[in-house]
Amino acid sequence: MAQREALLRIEDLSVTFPNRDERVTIIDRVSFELGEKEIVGLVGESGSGKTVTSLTVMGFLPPSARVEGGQIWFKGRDLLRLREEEMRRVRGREIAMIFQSIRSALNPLMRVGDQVARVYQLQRGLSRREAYQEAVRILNRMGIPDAERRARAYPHQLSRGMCQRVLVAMMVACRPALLIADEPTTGLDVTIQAQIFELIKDVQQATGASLLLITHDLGVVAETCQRVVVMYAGQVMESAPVESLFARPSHPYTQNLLRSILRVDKVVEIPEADASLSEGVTYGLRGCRFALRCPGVLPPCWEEGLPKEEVEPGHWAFCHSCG
Amino acid sequence: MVKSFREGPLTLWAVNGVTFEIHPGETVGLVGESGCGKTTTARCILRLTEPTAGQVYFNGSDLTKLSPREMRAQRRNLQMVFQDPDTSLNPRFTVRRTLAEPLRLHNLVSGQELEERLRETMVRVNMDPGFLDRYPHQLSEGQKQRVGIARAIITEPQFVALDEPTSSLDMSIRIHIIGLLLRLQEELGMTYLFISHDLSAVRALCSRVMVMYLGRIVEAGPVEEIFERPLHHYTRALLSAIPIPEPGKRRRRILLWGEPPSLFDLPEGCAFHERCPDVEPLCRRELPPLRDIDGGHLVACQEVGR
Repeated sequence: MAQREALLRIEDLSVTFPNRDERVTIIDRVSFELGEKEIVGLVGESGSGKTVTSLTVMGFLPPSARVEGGQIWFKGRDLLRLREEEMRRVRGREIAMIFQSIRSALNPLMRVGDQVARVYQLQRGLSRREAYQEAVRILNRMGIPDAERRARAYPHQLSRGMCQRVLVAMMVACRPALLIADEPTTGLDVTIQAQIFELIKDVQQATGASLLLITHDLGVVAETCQRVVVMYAGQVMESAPVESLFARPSHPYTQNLLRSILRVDKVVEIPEADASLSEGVTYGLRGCRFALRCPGVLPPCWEEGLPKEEVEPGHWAFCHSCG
Repeated sequence: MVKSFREGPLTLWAVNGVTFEIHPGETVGLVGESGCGKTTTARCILRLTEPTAGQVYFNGSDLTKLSPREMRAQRRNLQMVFQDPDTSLNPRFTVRRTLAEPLRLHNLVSGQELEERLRETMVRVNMDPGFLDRYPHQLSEGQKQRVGIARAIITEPQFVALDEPTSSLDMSIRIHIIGLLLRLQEELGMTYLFISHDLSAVRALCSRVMVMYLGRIVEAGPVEEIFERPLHHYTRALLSAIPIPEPGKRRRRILLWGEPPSLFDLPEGCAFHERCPDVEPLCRRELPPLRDIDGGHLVACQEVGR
């Protein structure tokens, strides 16, 4: 992979949440980066910390959460050190995000055209009328048929697929440098899912933005991303160019994950073993959190610190047994 | 079979004239997108929802003609596993009580024999019998779904309708549940109707598949045949929409225009004609019949095989 200046670089990020009297480390020393115009997939099963990571980047953590350490470098600034007003200028204008809960991301009492227009008013300082015209134009570009009429609709009058198009419109309205999409097609039917991914890819190409795509679907990763970061229980297990990860997964967790893929284009062998990797995830371990289930576990895996092994150029495994 | 729902002056045709057979020991997949009527079809088979019209023959007798009491007696032979264990398991019942309930209702076993059956069933679904005294909230997602499966198989049914049993689960649990269903079928000789929008799971589990679109079956046949040689444009689009987890391997994606029409207001003729790339004048007028094209490969399309 060509050496590119990173647009976003997360270093040693740790985030804790309260649980009764103690604090649980939900994000544990996470590091990865995203280059200019790059599409990176952040994958993992439930509880892997992929959503919390993206919320931290956006400054959207709930008040009970606490960043315990690390930096989030974006265009030469550490986002974790910005004041709320400064962060507000970054959000939307420079980093924009779409969420998995499509309906709750839109205001149910406001016409969708007005919601998109608000973005232009607030972020670009356009007048109400200009902003509304821009809004209709972008809704049209998002493939919403009869955009002028649909702009007057309320969210409940549109299908979920249409609502997601409205949200993509709001995300790209200000031409941010970084797009974050958190499971953008959860709950959508596969034919609509394919439409939305085509749209997001077109938008990314057209605006030259970088895209951080959070997903559990390795098929989507294989088709959309250039690089992939695999998370488990709040830790990064492996990070690699997509081809290299699928062809030569190094980390035992990734190997297990890839073995549990089912495919439409061929019959796969169903493993005999009970391979429920994400059940009973342990956030308390100081070393590698996969150690409890790892077939290749070694004594140092239980100790503090995760090694970073470069198994191939640009392909990193955070694992003692991969060296 | 037909099932319609009335909503004020409107009628929603959830299942709109569906006819099919399932043979002993088969696993038939029923696929389609949300609202296509696949769950309603299964619920009508089990009479959890009363069909508006049509018959359901089970071992030769029509289930829709049975009295509630006769139907209740039949239920030990026809069971269902639901999509969301959080809503289908009673949160105030221990696993033991959830599993014992169907045995008690059907007076199948009691006493020491009951306890043995509970333990044996737990082991069958790869769970430690120690979990019998737990409540659903003390179980993981995968464990809850295994309890849902255990409840369905404990009466040793001949037929089980599986309604999206893997849809809310993580990938590594999903494949395990599919492996479990395959093994249980082999051990107990059950017949499955597997309802899913997840076509890769259908390919792993089923021998035959039926594709539904807006309340009708548009294509059906052996799994290999349908997945390798889909003939209906809807099936083709559906299959091509699923991303392949192999970088660099690209298939031609058929992107469908627009979204399905409303079930309250179905178009005339073929329900798919508004989105079909090959639409002909006849498609707008006439409903295409489900025809056998080639040894059990059925298609409802005017254009196929013409």
